Amino acid sequence: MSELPQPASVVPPVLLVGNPNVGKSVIFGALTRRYVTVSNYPGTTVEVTRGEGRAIPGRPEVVDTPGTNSLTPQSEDERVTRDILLAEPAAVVLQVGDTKNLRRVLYLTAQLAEMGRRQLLVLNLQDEARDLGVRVESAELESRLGIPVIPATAIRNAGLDAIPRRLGEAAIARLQPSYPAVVERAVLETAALLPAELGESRRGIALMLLAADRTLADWAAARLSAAARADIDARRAAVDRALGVSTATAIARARHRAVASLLRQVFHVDRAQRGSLRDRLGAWSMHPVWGVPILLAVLFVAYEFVGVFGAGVLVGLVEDGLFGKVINPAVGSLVTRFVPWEWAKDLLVGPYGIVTMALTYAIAIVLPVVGTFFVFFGVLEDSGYLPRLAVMLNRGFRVMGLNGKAVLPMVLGLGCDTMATLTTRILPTKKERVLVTLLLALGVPCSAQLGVILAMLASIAPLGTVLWVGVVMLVLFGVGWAAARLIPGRGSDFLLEVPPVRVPSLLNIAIKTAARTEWYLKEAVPLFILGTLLLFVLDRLAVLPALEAAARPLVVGFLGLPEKATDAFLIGFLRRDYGAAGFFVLRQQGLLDGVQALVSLVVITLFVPCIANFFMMIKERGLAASVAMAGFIVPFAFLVGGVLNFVLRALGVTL
Amino acid sequence: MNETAIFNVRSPAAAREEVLEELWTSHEAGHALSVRELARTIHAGPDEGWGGVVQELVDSGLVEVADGELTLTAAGQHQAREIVRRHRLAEVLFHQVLDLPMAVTENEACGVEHVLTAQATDAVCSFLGHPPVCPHGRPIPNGPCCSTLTRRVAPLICRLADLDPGERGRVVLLAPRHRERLEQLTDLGVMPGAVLTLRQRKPSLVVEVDRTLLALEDEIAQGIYVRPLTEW
Repeated sequence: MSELPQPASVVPPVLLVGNPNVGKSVIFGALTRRYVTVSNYPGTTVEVTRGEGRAIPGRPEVVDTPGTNSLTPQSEDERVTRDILLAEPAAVVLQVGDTKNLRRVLYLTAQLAEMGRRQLLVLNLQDEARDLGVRVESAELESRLGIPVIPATAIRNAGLDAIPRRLGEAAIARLQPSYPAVVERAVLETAALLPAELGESRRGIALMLLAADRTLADWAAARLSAAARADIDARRAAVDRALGVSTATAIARARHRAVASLLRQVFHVDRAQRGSLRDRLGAWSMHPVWGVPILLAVLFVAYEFVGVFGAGVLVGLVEDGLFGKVINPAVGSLVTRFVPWEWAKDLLVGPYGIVTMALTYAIAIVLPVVGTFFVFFGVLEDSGYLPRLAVMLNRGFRVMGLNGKAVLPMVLGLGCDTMATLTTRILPTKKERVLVTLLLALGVPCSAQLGVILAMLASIAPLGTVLWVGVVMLVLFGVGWAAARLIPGRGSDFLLEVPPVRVPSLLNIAIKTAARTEWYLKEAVPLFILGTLLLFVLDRLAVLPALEAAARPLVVGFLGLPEKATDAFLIGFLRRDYGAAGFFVLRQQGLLDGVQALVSLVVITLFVPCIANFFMMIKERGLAASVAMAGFIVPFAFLVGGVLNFVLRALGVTL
Repeated sequence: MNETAIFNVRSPAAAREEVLEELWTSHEAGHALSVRELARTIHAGPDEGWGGVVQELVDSGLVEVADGELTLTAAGQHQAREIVRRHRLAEVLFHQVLDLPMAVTENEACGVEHVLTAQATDAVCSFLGHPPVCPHGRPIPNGPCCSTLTRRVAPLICRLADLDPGERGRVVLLAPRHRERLEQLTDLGVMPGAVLTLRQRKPSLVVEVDRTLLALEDEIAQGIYVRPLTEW
């Protein structure tokens, strides 16, 4: 946290702040001319993203923050936003709001005003407001608040050009709630206890402290004496007693009263709301009866598009066609002609070659699947279906000590477990974050791996797919159930904002898919190459056969797999999709029968996803917890595979 | 017999009211009572002086005795009706709104019926939405408040989870299990005075506040008390 005042010559940074899912990231993209992931569910942005405001004169830094409904945080992502406001006292706040939910917008404006923040207000989503017959008199609102109020439809780039023009007019909004006298007195007395350099933000911080914001405890401990903190606690207790409600509630209600009286002046609903087709679709998708066929239809489309089209048709085209017939022979002949050293030839095109193994796996087998998955997933994200899925699955998730809100990171894990681990920040309690991190690492296959798995499952009997899904679900629910009882702490009850159903923008899907694909290539390909190098070196040093021999009791004896499978497990430690690709090739070469294919898939599904995911776990959950999780997951994966092998063999199942 | 009941029996006014109530109830069920039967249904021995209580009621012109059977006079009916009304309204309040078990409810109602003033009774009746029957399904006699507002049949206050999908209600009271929930709900605009529309109850409860859809745990919804808004 910087205590230094900003030099006067530097243009102050711009902080994008607002309720969840109102389009902050779209506006960030427009101001920085840079893409950040944009979706239609609350919690897309859980981290601060910084960029250069290329669309603004002077190119100030622009900061995108996670959405928040209040500056008294209820979850870690909301806390990120409050903390950045405290850390950037000189920044101009660009508040983004959903026009049709002006009440919640102004509720946040009131808090920003109390923090003494200079701000603008962008009333976004004008198109949706119009569809609902909502009319906001922005000129009237502007004159009452004394700050620029800019109507916009950011996704169509409408109205945004006013932002750079009016940035200089930023001011503190004139929206000061009047509190009950006891509260007002306590605020003044608390503000007087705060360090003078906080300036105009003292009132806002005093209100937060009086509202018993526990997330501010560290901040207060660093700046206030123990006596001052005890004093504040005593004042809060006195207010609680005097009012008969908690101070926090009294403060919130006073803010709402101030907002309500302003709303009466500027907010109009011209006609009664009527159910549009989108509303009805949204309602059906979480209907107790109709929701089920819709969910099945979504899964079917996913299977057809990602499994059949991506993993089948596209992989066939790229692997057999592009790599098998063009690239590998061409590189092979080039290498034979120009590379004199035998080891270098092997390094490029040998059995553990960078082209023949690493690039073939990464680009020919995994990329088509990842690409199609990203397209499909982008459509799901932008349509607003995911929160509705959370509504459908809430009760089921109770078994694992979680609730519907955890559906979001778990489903995101099907895209990428690393990003999903970061998204656990939207969960309210630590216990839930630990549980979901564990389950993601244990049993949610990411898109890259899922594609390879689907392709391989397609080559064995349908019962194999049923068994794979069954075993993985059983493990997820079983481990979740047990972990929920072992991990201390408490869960939370379900409370989730369901966004409106929106028609996905093809452009956004295309950009998002491209950005994610680029990110996959940047992150996965180097690891694929590293893994190949590792195998190559181990092979050269004749360590690989020794390792294979050492792992023989486990791999051959316990899991019933061929010795070669050891290679796949080794690279599976780097990335489990890479490991899965190894099994895929073994299966193609006819080295795995149906049962062996299934057992290997189950074990590799239950592996820790990848090195990147492991680092993310360390970052979010700490080293000790992450090592403990990995220490449980890897042996457990082998154990489940071994038991499955034993049971299938004992029953004489063939696949 | 617990303390409350002893109090009821020992206080002469309460004892008179018990008898009036009992006579109303049996009349409602369609049979007359003798002094002996009365003593038995009130769960007290004949030596506890019910004869004296009845005699007082006869003396004050509230009860008549003919052929050993007791009947209420017009004045007696008027008083009994008020007592029964208080008792049954109290039952609705304790059992259906405050969720007390029936046994406790019965005891509490027996106590309350003797102390509630007419004004407080009408307030409770309005608060409950002028319920037509008690939890046992017996009719609750109308009061003056009911006749002025005969059109309203829905309860005046219920839990959010008890609304039907599509119904609207204005939040009266928030009583969540965890304190931070209260703040979070308030931040989202769910607070006393806010109008909520219940969208669905299963598989998870979904409500609309302003133009925001919120999915809520049933437990949260049970802590939100609303006044249903019926479209006239």
